[in-house]
Amino acid sequence: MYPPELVAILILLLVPLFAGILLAVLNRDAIRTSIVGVASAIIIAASVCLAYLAWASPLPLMIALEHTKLISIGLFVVELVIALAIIALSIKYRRILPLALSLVQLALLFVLEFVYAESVVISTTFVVNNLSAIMVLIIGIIGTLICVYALGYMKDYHHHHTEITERKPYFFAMLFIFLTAMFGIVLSDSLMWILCFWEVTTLCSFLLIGYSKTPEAVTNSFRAVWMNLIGGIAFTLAIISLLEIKPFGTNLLSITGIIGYHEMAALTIPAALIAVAGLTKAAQMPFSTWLTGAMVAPTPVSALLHSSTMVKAGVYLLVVFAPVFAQTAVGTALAAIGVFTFFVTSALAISQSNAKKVLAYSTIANLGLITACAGIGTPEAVMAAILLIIFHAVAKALLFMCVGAVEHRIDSRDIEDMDGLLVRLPLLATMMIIGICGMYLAPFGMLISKWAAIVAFLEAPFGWALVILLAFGSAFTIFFWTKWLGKLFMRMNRPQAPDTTLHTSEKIAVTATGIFTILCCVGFAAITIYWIEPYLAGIYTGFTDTGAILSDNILMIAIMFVILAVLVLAAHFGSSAGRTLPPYLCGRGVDETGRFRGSLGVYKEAKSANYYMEEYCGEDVLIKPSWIISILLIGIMFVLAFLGVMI
Amino acid sequence: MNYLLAAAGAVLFLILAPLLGGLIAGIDRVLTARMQSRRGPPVLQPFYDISKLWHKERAFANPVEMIFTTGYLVLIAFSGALLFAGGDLLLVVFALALAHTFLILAAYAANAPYSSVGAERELISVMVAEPILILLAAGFFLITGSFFVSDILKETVPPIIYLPGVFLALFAILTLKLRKSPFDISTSHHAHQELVKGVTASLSGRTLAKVEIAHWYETVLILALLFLFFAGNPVLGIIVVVICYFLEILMDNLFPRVTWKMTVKSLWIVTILLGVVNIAVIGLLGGVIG
Amino acid sequence: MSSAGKSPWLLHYNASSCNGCDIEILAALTPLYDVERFGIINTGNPAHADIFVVTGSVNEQNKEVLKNLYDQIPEPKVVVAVGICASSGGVFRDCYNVSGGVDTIIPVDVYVPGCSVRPEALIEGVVKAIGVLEQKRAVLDNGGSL
Repeated sequence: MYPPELVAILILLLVPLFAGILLAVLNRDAIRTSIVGVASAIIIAASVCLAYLAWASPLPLMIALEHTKLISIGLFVVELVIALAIIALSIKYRRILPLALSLVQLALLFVLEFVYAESVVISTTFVVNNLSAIMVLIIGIIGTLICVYALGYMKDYHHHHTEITERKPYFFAMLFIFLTAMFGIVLSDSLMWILCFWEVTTLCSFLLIGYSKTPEAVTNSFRAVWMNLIGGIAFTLAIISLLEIKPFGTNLLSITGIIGYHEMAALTIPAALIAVAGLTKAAQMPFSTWLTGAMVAPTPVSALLHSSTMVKAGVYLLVVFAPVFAQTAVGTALAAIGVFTFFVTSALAISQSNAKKVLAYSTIANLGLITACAGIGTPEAVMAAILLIIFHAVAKALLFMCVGAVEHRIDSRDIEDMDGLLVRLPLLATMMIIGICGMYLAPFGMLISKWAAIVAFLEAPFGWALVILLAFGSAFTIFFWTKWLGKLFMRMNRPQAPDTTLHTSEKIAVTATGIFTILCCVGFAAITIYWIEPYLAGIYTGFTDTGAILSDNILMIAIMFVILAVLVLAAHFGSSAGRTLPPYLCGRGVDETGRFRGSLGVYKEAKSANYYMEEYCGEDVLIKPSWIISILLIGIMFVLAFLGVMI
Repeated sequence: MNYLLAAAGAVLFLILAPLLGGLIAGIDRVLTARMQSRRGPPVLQPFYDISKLWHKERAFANPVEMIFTTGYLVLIAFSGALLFAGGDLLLVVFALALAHTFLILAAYAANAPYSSVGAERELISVMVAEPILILLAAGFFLITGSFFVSDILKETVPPIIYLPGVFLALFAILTLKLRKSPFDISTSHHAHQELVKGVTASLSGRTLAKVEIAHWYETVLILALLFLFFAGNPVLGIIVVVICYFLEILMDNLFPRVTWKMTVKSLWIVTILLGVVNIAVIGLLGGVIG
Repeated sequence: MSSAGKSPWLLHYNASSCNGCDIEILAALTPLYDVERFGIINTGNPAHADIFVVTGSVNEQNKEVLKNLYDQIPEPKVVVAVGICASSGGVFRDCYNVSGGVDTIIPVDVYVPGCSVRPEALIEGVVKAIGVLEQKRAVLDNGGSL
């Protein structure tokens, strides 16, 4: 009989896979709803169980599986199929770059499988520590909620986009296979296996981004695939270079083996290659364009790619390698790339009025921060990184789902059209407000994490330079979020949205994620003490606790929460007695829709738009210079790696 | 942290800061009048204004203004109390940003052109001030090894020795925070009328009074930040703070208002040239404690 | 004197004045007269104002504006008609497009005649308005309505 943790792991890997296959075959809305519902319930239950088991166990759960050789061969076949699929599609659409990169990747896979066949040993199959448990919870809960949300969303999507062929079985199958791949990445211990699941996410994202098959979608999906193939190639090269080290008695293909390895100086080149793999997946500069292009896909895809999966796979890998980065100059260079990305993409977000694009840039910015923390690699920095991963996943998933649902109600995803949303669509707007506050305001999660990051940076070498960029980046963050928030609270000057009813699935997903966002923020201290610190203590010898952030400040943060709670209650129950004045327009008469009467007796709309500062923050201005800078930084990272510079 | 002392600091701030801030505002108006060869109002005029506003009819463009302005006042008071309790400087900075978000939301909520432009400009001014406030906290951390004001105050060598650039950059930001020319882009005091008071355009009566009181709290808070650079030498600190405020009044009377672009450019050039370079030097020297 | 009288903020509106009275109003703010001595501020925003100072006669184009501005001033508020045109329509009262003085549209509390008014008269008028303002405030504070 299998131990319970293995059962849970197998459920997490196989249930989404089978659900995906079933969804691909069966095409009836009612059946689809029940399969998605049942599969989601099972996945959520299994992830909670597994997370509990990992938490309750004093040491990380190590699970060995029989027949690893067979499974490895199976996974190799999967990788071949992926490469061939990408090659076939590249030929079909005549794209040279993805084709060339896939061929390179294919060649490397053969080298890996046949030249190094002897060196590849897989002893431990799965490792579940507190970090993977957190990832499992994020994927298991947020990921499945997004799938549930997609049920209602896709109905409206095809209602609004009649020109797009309906391929729901394909769509839902991809979503669930994506979840399997993500579970595989965070649960496997062997880099070989992680690589396979890594490639599966590349393929799934490629197929999902191209769902609508419009020329734009095809172009963007190929961009996503070639950028991620660079990451895949870097990953494969990292594995090869790890095998070249031939250490005595340590299995460097196992994550636990790498973390326990003592000669970090030998690991600089693999570390740099892993860093590139992480940077591509996490859409850091200069690879950011695939993620901003990914928003052509239906919103559940964006939510999935941006919050719980895909990009999180990239930063997960970087956070896992943090102890290696901590001692090498490669880590410092990586941190520089991360914080630079945070700075630039926060500025870019100012220039956007498309809500999904703002979210995309904000995602890249926050991933930059996580990358920077992983690059610094100290326990404090890793703590900040994990907090950022958690808070970002919930808040961003919430925001994407809200934007998607709002778009179908008001026929626009432009922030300028969201004025007075709190009156027009109260539930969605409230959830959106929770999400936005969760992204940047004290005392909510992201800000606390940013704070932890500042503390961690200042204690690291050259950290002051990171803090300088972070300070300016934070200023941009405040700007673009607040102007969005302001629009939502505006007095309503427009007619009610014609159809404000939400699908039940959307309502469930959005409300649940909103509640999670608040719970995570309220429970951040508990998460830190009971989840993250034990993990850090297991990874870093001599680590006791990160006291600096928590002590003395918990009370203050609690007071801030109380203040906010009282204000919210007062807003709901307080008296709003008083006289409502029309907006001041120099004494001109204003009608009930906010239009003013001009001198000739004609009513005109008075509308004020937000600032976008395109001459400073526009994509035309910023993207190209930042490509140059970030490519230079990657170059520096490799030079440092080849020199083997340590800290 | 000595909790009793901290609580005393916080309570004293909550009670005395509005009195002191109001008094400073009154003296400011008299001095401004004298610089324009006028007599000016009584020193207690700001208190009369608040008392009057408090008794006005309740009127608003959007009822949420009442909650937002209350939030602004309470959170500004909270961040000041945190500072005077010897708390964490970064948290003070973040709480301050949260407070200003409430003011900005109050202005947005009216959905009226003047308020909106005021809100945008207030937002710009928050954005402009944010980097230097974070760098200030970082600078203090680099030289003292702590973000806590209570630890910074224990320094015997005044931090100004190590952080002159950050101090000067904060002084430049002070002009913005006190809503003085040339940087009074979102709203201004006294008889200036551009944007019909911008961010406060739709506020009246009590909501306006709350914003005024919050401004008094903030004045004391920012001046206290200036004072922090002279920890270990309080007399010098107070003298410098008084001189700084006087210079602000002088500048207010000498300069016309600049555009928001000019505000961002000039203040960030100052922040980078003085603040960032200062932090970089301290960082390269490995901090003072390190 | 209650605080209402110590801090009267003005809103100045030129209905259709020839600018003569307006210049005198601005003169009152200059160092020579310095009305800020009485806590008076020229606000330019009805939401902030207590005393509504109107110059010029009211015509068909601006009577709606005048009414709107008056409505947007929170209670207690006082209206001062400055100059003979604002007080009665002056020489323009029989024009086809002129409704007459300010009091044809909104209730006026203090009339300051003159063409144009002298700053001393204007200040006198505003001080009288302060008295009215205090009375109104007292009525409101005691739960009455105006």
